Amino acid sequence: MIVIQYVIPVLVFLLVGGAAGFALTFAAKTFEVESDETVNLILANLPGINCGACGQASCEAYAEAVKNGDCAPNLCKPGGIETAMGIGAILGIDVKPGERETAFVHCGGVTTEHKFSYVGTLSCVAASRYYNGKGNCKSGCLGFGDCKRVCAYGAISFVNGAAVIERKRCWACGMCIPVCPNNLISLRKHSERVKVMCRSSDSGKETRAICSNGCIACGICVKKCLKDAIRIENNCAVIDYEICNSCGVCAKTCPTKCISVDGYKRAEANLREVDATGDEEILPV
Amino acid sequence: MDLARNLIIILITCVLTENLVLSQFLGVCPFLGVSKKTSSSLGMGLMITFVMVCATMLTYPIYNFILMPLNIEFMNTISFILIIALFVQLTEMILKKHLPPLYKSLGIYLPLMVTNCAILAVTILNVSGDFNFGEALFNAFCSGIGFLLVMLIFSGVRARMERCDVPVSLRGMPITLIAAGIVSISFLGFGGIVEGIFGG
Repeated sequence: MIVIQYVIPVLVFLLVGGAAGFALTFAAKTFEVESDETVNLILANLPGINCGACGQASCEAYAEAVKNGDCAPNLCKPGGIETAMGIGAILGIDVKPGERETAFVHCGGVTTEHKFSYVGTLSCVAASRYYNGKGNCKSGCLGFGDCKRVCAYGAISFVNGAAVIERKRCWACGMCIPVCPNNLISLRKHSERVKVMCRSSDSGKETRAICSNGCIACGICVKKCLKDAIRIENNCAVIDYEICNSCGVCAKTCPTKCISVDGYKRAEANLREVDATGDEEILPV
Repeated sequence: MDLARNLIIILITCVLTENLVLSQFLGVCPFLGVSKKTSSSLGMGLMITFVMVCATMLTYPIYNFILMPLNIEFMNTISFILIIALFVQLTEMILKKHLPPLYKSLGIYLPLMVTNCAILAVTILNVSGDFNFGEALFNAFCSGIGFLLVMLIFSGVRARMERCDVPVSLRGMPITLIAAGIVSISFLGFGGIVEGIFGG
């Protein structure tokens, strides 16, 4: 009798469970969604971080677009060469891989004297509305971290009041580029090693007065460049990366050291120093 | 006449006075989780209504014709969960096939419906002895409608809150919970309607 007491509930449980299981099995057949094998393979090959750098809403959307031929297979910036080649292998086509890129901040960032005390909203866009920010340089990094807030990968930190992007954490999604009110960030290929770390449009004299490592438009780099790849535009040196071969002569001769080879290394070295002493607080002065 | 009276009482009780979410605090998880957008809260409400009615359709006979005669009523929770899981999986499949956007917007809350206390509460309440089969089905339907109504109201509240200047420390979940509390208090105003209309 006692046995039955135990057996019956178990049997009922098995019966109900089994019936539900069978019902689901048939339902699974009826409502089966056909998923495309190729899309799944491509999706498995993508980083799956849904950064949106390719212009699609998600990795899944990109995989479908690539499969249907609506998108080029080398648009995935985080995935880089390996992903592009992988997709090429899956689709059986030749892929010219896009080169790995990283965002770069064109400001060396040196603490300049402040024009006034800023006590408004802690955002670069807001600060830039008041006389181009509190710093003396009107085209430098404002230092309130709008770019840091949009970076999903924590690649941006602040050294000497200017944003620095850590190369190994940057996925080149480009989210930080439009939020900088001074337009200081651009995506640079890894082979483009020489960079001008200034976007100042002030005259040389003015720049010299307020910043120790800004471009003073002296034109030495233009004369020294072996390939004629540099020109002065709006009082600031601009490198034509179509021509530049990263020889670094300009960096050696620049009197203010605002042109640098592997600028990210210099920036990252500073970053490590800051890490050792604790992260710099961004405070309104 | 008697039937109509019973049904109206069930309707008012389920939707207004004894609302699952706001008076009994059941099913709060999807209530907070998917009420951000009106479209997904509507989807979730309909889904829960569907599962409630379908589950009652099976749990009521199982309780009355299997568990009761065998004297193993204590099995109700576990066997009801099986039935609920069955229908949740079923709706998931149907959604995935026919309404992929809704399927994506509901996300994790869809499979979580298996352990949704509101559905389990309704199925257990339905077999507690007061209802016949028809009334039980109607009760399940009305409970779902009550849930749907609250979801829609609250998604409206949250849409309004998006545009408010909320103090920093209260942003996100805290202010949502406070708003839920206020909506819940406002539903207290419906108390006593049934007694008022039908004289106790």
